[in-house]
Amino acid sequence: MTVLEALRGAGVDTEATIYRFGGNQILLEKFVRKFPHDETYSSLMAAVKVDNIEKMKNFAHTLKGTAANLGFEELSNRCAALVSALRNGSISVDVTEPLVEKIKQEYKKIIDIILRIE
Amino acid sequence: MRRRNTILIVDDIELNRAILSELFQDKHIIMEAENGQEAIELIEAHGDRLSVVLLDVVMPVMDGIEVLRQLRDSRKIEEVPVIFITAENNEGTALRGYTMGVSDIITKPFNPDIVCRRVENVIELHEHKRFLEEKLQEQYVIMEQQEQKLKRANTFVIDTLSTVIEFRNCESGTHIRRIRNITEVLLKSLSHKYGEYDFTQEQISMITDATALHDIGKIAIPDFILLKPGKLTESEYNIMKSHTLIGCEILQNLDCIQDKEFFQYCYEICRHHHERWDGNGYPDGLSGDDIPVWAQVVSLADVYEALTNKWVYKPQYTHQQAVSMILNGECGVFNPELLKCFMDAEEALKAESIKPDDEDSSNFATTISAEESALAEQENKLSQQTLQLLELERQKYHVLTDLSGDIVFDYNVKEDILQFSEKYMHVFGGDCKVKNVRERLWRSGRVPEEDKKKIKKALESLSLLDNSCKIQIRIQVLSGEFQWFEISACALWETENAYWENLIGKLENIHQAKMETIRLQEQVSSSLLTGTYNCETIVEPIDRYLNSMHADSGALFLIELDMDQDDNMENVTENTILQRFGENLKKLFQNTSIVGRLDEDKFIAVLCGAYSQAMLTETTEKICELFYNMQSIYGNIGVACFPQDGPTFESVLNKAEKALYSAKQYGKGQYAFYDDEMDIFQLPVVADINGIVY
Repeated sequence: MTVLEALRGAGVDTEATIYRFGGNQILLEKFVRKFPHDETYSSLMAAVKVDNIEKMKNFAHTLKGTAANLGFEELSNRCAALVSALRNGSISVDVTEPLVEKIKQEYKKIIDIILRIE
Repeated sequence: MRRRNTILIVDDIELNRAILSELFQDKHIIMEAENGQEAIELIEAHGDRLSVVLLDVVMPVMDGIEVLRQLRDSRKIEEVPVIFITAENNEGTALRGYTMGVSDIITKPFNPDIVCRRVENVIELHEHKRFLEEKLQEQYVIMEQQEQKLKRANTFVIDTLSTVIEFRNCESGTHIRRIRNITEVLLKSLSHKYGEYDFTQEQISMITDATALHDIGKIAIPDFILLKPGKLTESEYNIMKSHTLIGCEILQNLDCIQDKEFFQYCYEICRHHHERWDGNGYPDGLSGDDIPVWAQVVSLADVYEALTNKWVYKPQYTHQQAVSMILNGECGVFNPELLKCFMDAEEALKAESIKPDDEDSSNFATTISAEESALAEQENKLSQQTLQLLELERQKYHVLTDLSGDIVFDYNVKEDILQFSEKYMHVFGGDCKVKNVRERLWRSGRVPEEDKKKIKKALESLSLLDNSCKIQIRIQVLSGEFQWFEISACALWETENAYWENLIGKLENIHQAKMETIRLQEQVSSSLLTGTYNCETIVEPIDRYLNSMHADSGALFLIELDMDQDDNMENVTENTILQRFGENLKKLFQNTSIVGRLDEDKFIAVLCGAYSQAMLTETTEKICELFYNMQSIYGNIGVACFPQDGPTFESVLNKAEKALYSAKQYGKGQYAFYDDEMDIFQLPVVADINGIVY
């Protein structure tokens, strides 16, 4: 599977994404391949585990940006939701946990696809 | 202006940096920073290369806002534009960013093309701004330089003009510059010390420039007053004083002084620099604080400069002497506060006064002093030699003159120096050694013009064979009175030249005797003319006169007139003719003689002093000429001389009578000189000579 095919499979608007990369498809591909190794997600999960609101906010925010850049809109939105809630002060586990769950699912989906790229 | 071509991208997420980098890397050099701290460091180090900073907000270590704050505090924000590239989409952050000085805010995710355009816009705008600022700065620098040039040119022109004027006063050109510098020192001291006289540097510059024109009015003062070495008369002084007002007039005619403040300084300094604190100055008689401060300062500077500089008519005083003279009020009355500043500025002033003239002066001054000193040296050498040569002789003279009581002199032609003995000083005042004698003697008002001619004649008469002379002239003594002196001089030749090289002699005061002689002469002459003397009574006065003259030789002319017997002629007319003859006769004879009417038709002329036969003949002929020139007169002349023809006047008169008689034998209009053969004549007793029988 090519990168573009994988991205399409993940629901990415590849044209727009390539455009965002200044037309540099190769650069896009590079970063797509790097995505699974990006530490942001694991750092976020670690923060969730210890319930560090601050760190959760930051990493979620970062992940949101990265996902958006790569065209993973859904993942980005879900991160945004978490960030928003945390900023509003809704820090109780009841609120955060479902949001985190959603992020996890989407993330996993994307990773699976990426892993299928040659 | 160096083109800035580097963009700094600040974001903690590599991906973000990569994307941005991608957008600009073909046209720009990219620098990256992971957090705010790094960004600050890079900006510090390479700020002058950066065209823009793309700054993320949310970053670890130091976030974007903090970066901005630091950039604003260090004012780097003015140098490098900053653009927020942020995922934060709330207005609060945006506003804060703008407040902190961010140039633009771009939200993520962004459209690359749009971001490109916006970033380029910011870069270009900033470049323009910098370009303009630079240009402005350059222009400012150029303007300042031109202003300086203009100022210097101005100062140069003013200084040159003033120097030209000062040159006419035969004063050195440095006078102006020194007064400027002294004025500057005093002004600084004043504003330092007294709050109410606080002058800005610009004002001080203006005032010192204005100082250069303070004596501009002197150009209208005539040379004979301006260059007079001695004291001025009252009317001359009044003309001199007018230079203050004339200067003001000149200034008013100058269109070029457009700056009102500068003009005011020039005008007031020109007008008031001779006012005095106590009101006794000129031209307006202002006193105290009515005198503008700058005029007071220039006044003091002028005085100080004059004292510490060398002039023709006064020596150069040291700084210390000048200071004490000024403080003692010897050179005018000044504002006491000003004097305090004067004291304070002592160090600065001293530095000024010992500054060598070369430093800021024309060559003129230095050339003059070199010449002067060379001349002085030469003079010294000559004087030394001369003195050495004459020293021995002088010592001899000294002894003799002291004994004789006369003034002895010694004149050297080559050096034109006249050296007198010490007594000269007591009688005439002044130095015993007189230089430039030739010039000074003829110019001198102390010897009457006719006596100067006597001197000239006597000097010209000196020759190798006849190298001495004796003349009597009048000289003005210390008291102002003109007294008679007899100069006996003797010329000396060192070499075979035609003209003598030295003249030595003595000056004897014969005033008393001379006055007596003149008195007697006049007495006798006037008495004779009125006919009050007869043969008998005339003897004694003439004798006395001859004695007073120390006359050891002379001649006596006895003239008898014969009027054409014309009964129609009245006695009155006869008398008039006779009187006229008497006057003509007197004109013929000069000072060293007595002329008078002895009787109704007899005249007598006594000539004293040396004579020669030729001279006697010539004189007699001249008397005869008088007869020819006058109508209806004939005469006879008998001439006798003393001492050969007789020891006393009386006997000589006797001989002259005989000579006259002899002449008459030959007819009218004849004359005869006495000789022994005439002794045989027995003169008839002439009835009109009262009772004297010869």
